[in-house]
Amino acid sequence: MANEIIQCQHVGFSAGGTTILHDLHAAVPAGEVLFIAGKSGCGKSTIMRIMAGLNYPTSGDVLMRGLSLRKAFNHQLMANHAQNGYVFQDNALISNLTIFDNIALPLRYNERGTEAEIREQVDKILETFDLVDDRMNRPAALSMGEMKMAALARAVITKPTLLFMDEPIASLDRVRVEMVKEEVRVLRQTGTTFVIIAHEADFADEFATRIWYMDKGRLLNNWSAEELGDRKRKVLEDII
Amino acid sequence: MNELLGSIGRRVIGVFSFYTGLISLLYYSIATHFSKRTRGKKIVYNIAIQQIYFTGVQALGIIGLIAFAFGAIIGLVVFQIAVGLSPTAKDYAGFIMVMSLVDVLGPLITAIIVIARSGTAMATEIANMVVRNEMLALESMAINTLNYIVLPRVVGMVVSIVCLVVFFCVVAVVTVMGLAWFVDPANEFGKTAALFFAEMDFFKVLGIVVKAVFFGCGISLICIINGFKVLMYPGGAPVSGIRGVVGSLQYVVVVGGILTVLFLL
Repeated sequence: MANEIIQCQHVGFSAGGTTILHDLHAAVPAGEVLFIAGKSGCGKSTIMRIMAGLNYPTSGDVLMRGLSLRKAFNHQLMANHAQNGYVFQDNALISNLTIFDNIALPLRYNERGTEAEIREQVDKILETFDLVDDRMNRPAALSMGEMKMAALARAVITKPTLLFMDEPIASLDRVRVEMVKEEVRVLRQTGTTFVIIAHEADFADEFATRIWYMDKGRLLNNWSAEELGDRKRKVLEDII
Repeated sequence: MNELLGSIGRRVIGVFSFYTGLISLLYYSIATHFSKRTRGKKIVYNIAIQQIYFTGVQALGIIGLIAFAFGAIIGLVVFQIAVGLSPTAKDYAGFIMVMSLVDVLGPLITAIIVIARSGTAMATEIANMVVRNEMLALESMAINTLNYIVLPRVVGMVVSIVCLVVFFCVVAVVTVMGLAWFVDPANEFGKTAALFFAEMDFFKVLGIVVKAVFFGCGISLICIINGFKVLMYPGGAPVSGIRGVVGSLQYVVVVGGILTVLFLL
């Protein structure tokens, strides 16, 4: 279909003799908020990384914005990454950079503005995510919640059209959860597509327009919020 | 016998593959940097400068101390022995000692110190970045790791080792000359100095610099590759560091020997 931003075509993945993903065939329409749900170890993070082009499938292919991630040249892959954002489950902040430099890194490296403009953008996002006091600290000096906010700030500062979030509100207090939700609302208005892994039914219920339910590496269900209707909340509570 | 030959053959192929891999990594790092599509060159230069500071500037103290110690100890021993030698042999004692320091010991000892200080740090840092998914994070931000991680470290290491080798040689030679002047100002110092400066032509200096460049490239690439291979090692980052150090030591001894012989020919 023309408006699919990601197409997983019979994606399979094996590592160390173990099959982690079995023949996953599905698509993510542009502008949707896809929640991937399932038990721990069912392959959610693996499929997310493959969809993001951070890992190659063992079989099958992924098309992102029409580009085959298996066949793409490195510069094409990089061009795709430049339009995406990724929030890792373990945050993956660069440990020898300050929080300010971590958030500024994608802008500085990809030369998205002068240094003054970049500083202004980073200062603004530090205020939004309540990280001003931590701007000159290294990640090791931050709490888990602060690191999560810094990772989110780094992912959204480039105004991505496709945002991958792996457990974005895990270990966050209520105030920070609300900050994350507000950022999702703001980005949704710009048409950003989301692929989210989360174990919080409330979060999924508020935002999900599509739900993938996975078990043991297989995609068991691919629901749209429309088809679930009033059952959406119940289904989410059962599977999350 | 067949088993032994097979084992040797596999080993040789493994070593060949490893070193061709190093050359490929170096080539693609440089090619990526100079590609028109690659960005972030200013950041890469800054990282290279930081690497020069950590590897080169911060090692000046210890390199200077060890160069002085080597120059002094070897000088004292050789001049002591030279007292009992014929006048002709005495003339050349200081010169041979200086050339050994400059030609062989200087680059080798400098490389060993850099391996111990910076090689382990480099391998372990990269290994930790892989384990903590920082490499994936860089890719997710459209940052080419060949350009951002590999190249500045290689450049920083090469520049640092070249400068440190020159520094070592200067300190060691000055120490020996100073000793020679102290022992017999009119004779030993003059003859040693004259012979040394007669021998130090352009090709000699070029040989020392080429050796330093090879050492810098090899040490950095070996440590970087072992850092990236951390997930293959059960012991994790510490094992990456150890393998980086051991691989680098083997490299400098073998390549240093080969280059010394080549330049002698």
